[in-house]
Amino acid sequence: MLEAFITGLLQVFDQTTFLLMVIGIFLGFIVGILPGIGSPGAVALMLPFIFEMDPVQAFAFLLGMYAVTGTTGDITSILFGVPGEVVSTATIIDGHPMAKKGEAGRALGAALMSSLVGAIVGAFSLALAIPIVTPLVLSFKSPEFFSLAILGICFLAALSGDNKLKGVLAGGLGLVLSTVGLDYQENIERYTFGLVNLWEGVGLIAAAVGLFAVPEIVELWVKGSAIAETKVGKLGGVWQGVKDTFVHIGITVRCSMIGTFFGLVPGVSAALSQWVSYAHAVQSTRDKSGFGKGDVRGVLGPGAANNSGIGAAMIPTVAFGVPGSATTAILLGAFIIQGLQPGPKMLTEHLALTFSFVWLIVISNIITVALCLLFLNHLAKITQVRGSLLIPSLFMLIFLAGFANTGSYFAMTTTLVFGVMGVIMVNHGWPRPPLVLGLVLGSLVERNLFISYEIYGLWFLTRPIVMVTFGVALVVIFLPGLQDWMAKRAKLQEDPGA
Amino acid sequence: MRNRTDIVIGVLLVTLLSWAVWEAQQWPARTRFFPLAIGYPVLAMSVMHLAYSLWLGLRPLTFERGPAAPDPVADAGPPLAPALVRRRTLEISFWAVAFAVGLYLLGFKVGGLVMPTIFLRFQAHETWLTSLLYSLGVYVFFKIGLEEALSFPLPAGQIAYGLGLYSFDSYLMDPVLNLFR
Repeated sequence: MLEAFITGLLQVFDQTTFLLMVIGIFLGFIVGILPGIGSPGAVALMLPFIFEMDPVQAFAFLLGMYAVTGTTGDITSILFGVPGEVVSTATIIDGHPMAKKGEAGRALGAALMSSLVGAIVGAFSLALAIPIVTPLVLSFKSPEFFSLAILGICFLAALSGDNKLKGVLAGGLGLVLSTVGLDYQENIERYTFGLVNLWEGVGLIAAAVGLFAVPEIVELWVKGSAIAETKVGKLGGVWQGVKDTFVHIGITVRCSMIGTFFGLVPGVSAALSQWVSYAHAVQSTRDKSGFGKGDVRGVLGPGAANNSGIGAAMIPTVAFGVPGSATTAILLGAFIIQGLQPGPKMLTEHLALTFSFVWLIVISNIITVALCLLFLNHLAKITQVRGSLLIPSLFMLIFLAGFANTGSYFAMTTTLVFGVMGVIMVNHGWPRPPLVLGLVLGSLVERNLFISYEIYGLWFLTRPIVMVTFGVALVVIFLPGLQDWMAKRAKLQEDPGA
Repeated sequence: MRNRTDIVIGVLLVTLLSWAVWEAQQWPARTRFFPLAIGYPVLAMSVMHLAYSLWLGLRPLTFERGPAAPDPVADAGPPLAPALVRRRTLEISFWAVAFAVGLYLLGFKVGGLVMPTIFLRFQAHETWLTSLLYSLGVYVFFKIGLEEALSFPLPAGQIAYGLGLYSFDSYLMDPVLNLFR
């Protein structure tokens, strides 16, 4: 096994392979920066180019691209509040307020370094975990997937300040909106108003961009200033952000583990792991007052989680041919193009190739982070450009994002509608993340709920993992309120006049 | 009445979700299973929210609600006059729709050249030079970065389609680019 591990490393440093990996990184960097052109789309676009390559070269090219999209997606999330990738949405919550405070450099440094730590944790878990996680993954059935998705939404709802009802309601509304489109079983239109453009459902990217980016643009214009509200002389803080990763190494590593866990469970969205990691960062911190206003720990958690999931998502793909994410589903196509069969042979005959995946993910991330760190100060300066100059580009990007995702101009209407919703939600204290997560997870929840009910009836709710997951969800929702109530009661008992 | 908007949102949600649940009941069992499974609880929650908003609205002003959800946009800067905020919000909303319509009619490349120029010159009051250079940058990004380098398909826009033409810029740019191909 050690020999295969080293052979995998040497294969990556083959001249042609390394060059193809760098080209992949470059393309992934562009794709990551551009909102809406996600890694699944980019990998799919590049599949025709790998026919002439050998397997290591092909995967160097594709994994190099895949590995950096999440990292660079964080850059637009922090600088503009526009998620470069769906998996970068959670980074906005604290990253963008940091940029507004003039700490863009620090936020970017933290996001990049935590992404690197996450990528390393995820990649090596790919190497170590295969024999350990097999029984765990195989024990997960539809009821467990359903309960995990509900847990994710509850985590987010719990972050909705004092008004958790709004958080849960927003998550529920996201689930309801996810039912728009053709029913996947009977092909019957649901809430489409006869519009063919809605058959595929509400465009996720268009909706996410509308909810998050449009309110930013409105705010930029209303304020009439730059993204950064505080002017700092030289945009420093990048190394402070890097240091923050190691000061809060516990959060970074734990969130990497969360990302790894969610990455290796097939079909569970990487976006979910980012949100759960964010929730973990908040809940594991005593002083929560800074979260949502620019706390670096709110950047470290999601940053670490989104990249750790990349290596982990390869585990079920390589070992069982079960893709762990949308991009790995497309990578399965690359296996077929290369004449490889995911499964036991990947762990025996092609073990060196499997280990080369580990090295490719690690090395791609190191190169990306090194390059980004070199140019971060220049990137961060964009936040000090006055808003009126940024707005046309942002308009072009948000409309391109929806269009790129669906190939239809109708996505622009979706962006505008969700933009209006986003502005209303911001102005009236409605949390937007649960709504997006509901939309992301809707089809997964529906499929797994239906299968669970068909197979087990309502008894699926009594399965041990489901009960534990729902128990955790209830604790997450009700514990903070219960703690507040008990604290008030204790205070009243101490001072009845209060 | 305080939180009037919350009540309006609550009424809208209850109406929308009631319609969603009613509509779902007409579908076959498999199709309606999930919309109803999720629709009824969410409708119940929206009724609870509406009731809570009404209760808050009718209470005397002795109780202040806690902070809202953490939201990156929620933090306010220096206070601006409400009339100014309203005017600027309407302005930018108009431009959002104008960009969408412009891109739909002209396509991303030509629209990317025209719309930023108009916005920067006539709304942001930038100089012609800045506006044109900026828009040229946007065009180059779409034409060279997306269409040529990434082979990303960018449609020509409805006006060109209606006239049966290629994208307007093709007649000017393609002969130039052909020299380098």
